[in-house]
Amino acid sequence: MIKYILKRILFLIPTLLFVSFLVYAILYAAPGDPAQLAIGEGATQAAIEAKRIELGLDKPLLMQYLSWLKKAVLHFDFGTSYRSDISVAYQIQSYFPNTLKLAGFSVLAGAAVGIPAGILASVKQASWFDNLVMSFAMIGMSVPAFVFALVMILIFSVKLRWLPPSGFSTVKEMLLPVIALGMQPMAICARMTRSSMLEVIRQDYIRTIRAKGQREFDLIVFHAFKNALMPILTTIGLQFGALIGGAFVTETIFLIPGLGRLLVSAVTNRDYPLVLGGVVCVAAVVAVTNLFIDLAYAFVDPRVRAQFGSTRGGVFSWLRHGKEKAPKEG
Amino acid sequence: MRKRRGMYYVLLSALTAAGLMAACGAQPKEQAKTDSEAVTENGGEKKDTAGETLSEETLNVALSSNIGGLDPKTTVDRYSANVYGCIYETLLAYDDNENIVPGQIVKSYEQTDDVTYHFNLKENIHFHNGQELKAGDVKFSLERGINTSMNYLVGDIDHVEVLGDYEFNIVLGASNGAFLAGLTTPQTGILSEKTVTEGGDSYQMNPVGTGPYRFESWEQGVSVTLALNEDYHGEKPYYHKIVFYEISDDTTRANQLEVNKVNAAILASTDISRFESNADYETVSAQTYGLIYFGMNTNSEKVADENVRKAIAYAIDTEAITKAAYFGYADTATSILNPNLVYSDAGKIPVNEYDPQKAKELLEKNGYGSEPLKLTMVIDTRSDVTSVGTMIKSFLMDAGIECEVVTGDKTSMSGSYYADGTNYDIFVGTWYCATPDVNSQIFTTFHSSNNGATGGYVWMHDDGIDKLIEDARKSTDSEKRQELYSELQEFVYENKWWVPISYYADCWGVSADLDISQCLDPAGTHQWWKAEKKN
Repeated sequence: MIKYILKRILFLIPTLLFVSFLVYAILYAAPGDPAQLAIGEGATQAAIEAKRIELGLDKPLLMQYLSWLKKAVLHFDFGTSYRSDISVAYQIQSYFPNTLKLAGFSVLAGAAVGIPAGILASVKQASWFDNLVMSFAMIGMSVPAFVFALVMILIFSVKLRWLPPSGFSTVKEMLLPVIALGMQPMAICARMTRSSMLEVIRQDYIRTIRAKGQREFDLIVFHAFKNALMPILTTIGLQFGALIGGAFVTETIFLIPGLGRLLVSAVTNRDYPLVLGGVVCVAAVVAVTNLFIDLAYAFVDPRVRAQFGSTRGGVFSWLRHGKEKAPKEG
Repeated sequence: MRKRRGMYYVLLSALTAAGLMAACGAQPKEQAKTDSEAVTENGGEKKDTAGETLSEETLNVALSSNIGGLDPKTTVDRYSANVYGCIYETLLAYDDNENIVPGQIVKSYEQTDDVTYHFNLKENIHFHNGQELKAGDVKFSLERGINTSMNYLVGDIDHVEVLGDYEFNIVLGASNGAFLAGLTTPQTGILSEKTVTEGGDSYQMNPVGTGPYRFESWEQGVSVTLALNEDYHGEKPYYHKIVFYEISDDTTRANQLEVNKVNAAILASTDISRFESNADYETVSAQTYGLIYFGMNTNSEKVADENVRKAIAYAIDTEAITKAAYFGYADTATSILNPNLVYSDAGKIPVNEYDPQKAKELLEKNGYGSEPLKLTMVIDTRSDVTSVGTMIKSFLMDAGIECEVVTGDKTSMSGSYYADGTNYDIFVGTWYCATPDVNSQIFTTFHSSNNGATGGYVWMHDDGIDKLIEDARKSTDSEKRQELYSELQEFVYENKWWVPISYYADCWGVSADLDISQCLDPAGTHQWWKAEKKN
């Protein structure tokens, strides 16, 4: 298992290299002059040329990229923004945690509501509850997050004055953006859970467990749901990855200083260092999230665990007893 | 049993992770906070070091774009200038009669020859960190801006000669009649050489000036807070603090005003009616130096004929477009220069004549009777440009002119079309002068050395016009400059390279008890230290 984790972490390096080079090449090819954008409209050609040399933009693409890479790898220095001259690392450090929190809480909230709703909908298939959940799920998937956001602000902030319309520092401020952004994960989790549960509860072994007299609650939660968990975990991981980079509109509406807003502004201004720094961070987080999801598979499914040469009792037993002394399965 | 334990572990891990995230997020990170209080309390009233009573109130302003930075060398956009304009002070200023006079930190100035300006600073003016302002700081502040974003204001400086602690000369490379106007802008505010040099990359996290407000904190992407400078050498502002919020979305800005999170916000035209009829708010029109216009590319063979350009101009109803696009918050344009600008002939040049019949007749005479004239029009995705561009396309279609519209964000349009200059015929653009003196804008828009993405989207190639612009720039005789700029305005009107559409105004929504009438500056760099509370 440890070898597997280390391999995945090592694999992160070529992934990040590839992503960063691809993004750099796309920005380089995109129309728009970063030097002219950095210096502003109304500047003379001579001033723009001087800026271009100062930023190293007169060099070929590969040299520019390698220069950035050298500073990033050897000194953990992502450079400074072309536009504001503020350190990229400082800006990402200020903005990224908010996006992580927003995406994380939204996915958690979505899973916390969507999974139980999906389980109940599968157990009460074709009932009014099932239809209600699926209708809400359809709305949640079809309506964009910013529509939810604007409607909720109008009702709860402007008309009722119950909740603040912006910010992300207190629980009250977090409620509206998390709910708005969490609607889609909620809907997807509900549908995925229902669909996965329906496949599992029709299996023969579920019928056998029921026949043996197991309580219905224990059967659903500890047998059926556990076996239905894999696709749900995949969905949650994918949702989190999507929200990390895609929460820009919600961040704008609720004035959350998040990475989405920062990246959109950086791309518009062709601010290469800021775009690169942001994209590398997002790629790293998404890769690590996928790693955790894969590890979660091993935790949940003994068949996956067995592929890693696992011992009885799982990872914790391995850690407790050590590789040599841990009892084998069989 | 073992399996249930496993599930419990999963749930426990998830809850722990959620709890950790919540704990990490409990308090906002406030970067670069500085200590503030230098006041005494006396029976509940706060007084400054001079014994004047201070208000405790905070002014909350919503800006319509991000604050890019607090160092003018790197960030010259007017939104950031709204903030650092309260921190830094300039050498010169405009009085109520539009005359250039010494600023708050200058005792006197005079022009000693064509290229030299002599200044005397006031003594005992201190930066917020206690250092005294000296001539060396002025030299540092101005010279560092050459060949940077500030170049359009200080690019003509050859050097600044320090003659004493409070005395210096600014020596230009060549005569420039517009130079002094540039020294009135917040972008040429004076910084402390020692603080900037020692601060390095992190200077902007604790900027220091001599202005009525000092920096308190900057929550990146959210707001900048400024606190009153209790030791300010001039008249102290009313508000104890100003918080500038970065709110680029129009609806969000209007919502923030409606829930009283902010006292002042620029409103989009579609939000104005929400506040006009509400007694708790006022809408205030702010004149600008701005203009939205329709331009024709001199590189295009299709519009090379003057009669074709006149036909296109006849097809456009600028009055109708102005009414429809700006809901009463704009005037129909006449000259290329906004009437708030010095040297504008807006009152003398007539509104573009709308006559679709004449347009069709002229087009027929030029061979576009059976075969319509087909043009490529570039518009970017800013809302007013899109709106005006769409209406112009419709008017041109009525006159029998077909338009293929290419659109995208301004950066992409600049890079793909304006930089190239050969793949478009007509376009819609906006023009915003940073100072009341038009030189910098005229130079970058009409001088052939700036054709392309820097601003010369018309691609003017006229030696006569180049010379006219250069002569107007060099001259310090305002009558002569007026004559030259009048000639330029007449040239553009007659030749129809531009069809000015609207002089737009900003509409500010403010709380009913707030008076910002003294703050508003047509350059968009408003003077928030002049905000007052109404009685």
